[in-house]
Amino acid sequence: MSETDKVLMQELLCIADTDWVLGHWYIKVMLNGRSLPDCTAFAGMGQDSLGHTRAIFRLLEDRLELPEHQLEFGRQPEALHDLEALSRPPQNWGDFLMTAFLTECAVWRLFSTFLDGSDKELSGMVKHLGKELYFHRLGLEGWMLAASDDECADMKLSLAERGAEVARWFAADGASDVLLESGVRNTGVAEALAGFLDDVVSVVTQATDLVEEEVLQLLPTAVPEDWDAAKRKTAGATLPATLWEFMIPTDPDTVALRRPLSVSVDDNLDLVDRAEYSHADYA
Amino acid sequence: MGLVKQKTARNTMDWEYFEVFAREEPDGPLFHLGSVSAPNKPAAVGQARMVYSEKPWVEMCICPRAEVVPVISVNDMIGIA
Repeated sequence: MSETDKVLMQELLCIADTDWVLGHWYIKVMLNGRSLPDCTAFAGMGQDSLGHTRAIFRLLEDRLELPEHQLEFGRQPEALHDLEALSRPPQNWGDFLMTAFLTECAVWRLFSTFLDGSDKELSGMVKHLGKELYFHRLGLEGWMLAASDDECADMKLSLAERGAEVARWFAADGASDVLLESGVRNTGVAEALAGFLDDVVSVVTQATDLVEEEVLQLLPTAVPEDWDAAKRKTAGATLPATLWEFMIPTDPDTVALRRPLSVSVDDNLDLVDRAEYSHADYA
Repeated sequence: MGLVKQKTARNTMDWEYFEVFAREEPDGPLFHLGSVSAPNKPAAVGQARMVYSEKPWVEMCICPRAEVVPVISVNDMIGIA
């Protein structure tokens, strides 16, 4: 495998693994919605995030000639490239909104560096997934703008506690970016960081009483000494066991409740567009 | 996420309702899909996209219910009173 391919795989795993964890956050938080459409929206966002994860996993498995589902079911949590900020559960509604919003912005900005790159299969995927991710950010923005005073205080605390963990995802390790040089990535990570900061400042300054300089101060990109640049996380940092169990259950009762993989992945169940029902759609 | 009593921060009955419309084909009719209630327009757009995602719509739009102009109404005697 070339150095470019190796780095590309690492970058895509950072995005896919983060979306994988975030999707489980949405599922866990689903019943904390404030209304039925809220809960349904979280279900949709969880479904999108897990779908994006599997799409990227499938692309990687094809290219790396790995067995199907190896990346989802064949790894241990130590091997994940997930965003560290998601390793601590949300403490309240404000903390959830802020963390999910920061993560969505970070995932999109890093992913969008491949939008007009030379890898056409990947850039097509970025375009398709990006259309869905836009609505995730918009929904979260709406909830942030509607936050109460207490929730605003929680959001500010959350930004102070988790902002740096998200922003340092874009940290430059000083090495040249082979993906940018090879054209696979058409914009650099530094530009992605600038876009991420713009996105966050734009919404947080409207949703809270923080001004731009205060928001930017809470988003430093300095990394610890034991930083693992390939995984974009602290070396050795691992998902908590409870969260991993939620993602890949081993409890026999939970495993029994899950649909067999052959049904959930291989069967294209279509319960909406069946001909015998379509005449009644929206009639 | 804290205690249950901490989860209901506001009265959602105060939220605005938005009607949701979508088109399945570029030259097809605009269907009324349903509605969402949300505290503001960004949240309503996000919710509409997530809630009514059962088909690959080519167009979707929302409209504040308060902006809908009644022509025939079950509530008002339009043209009489």
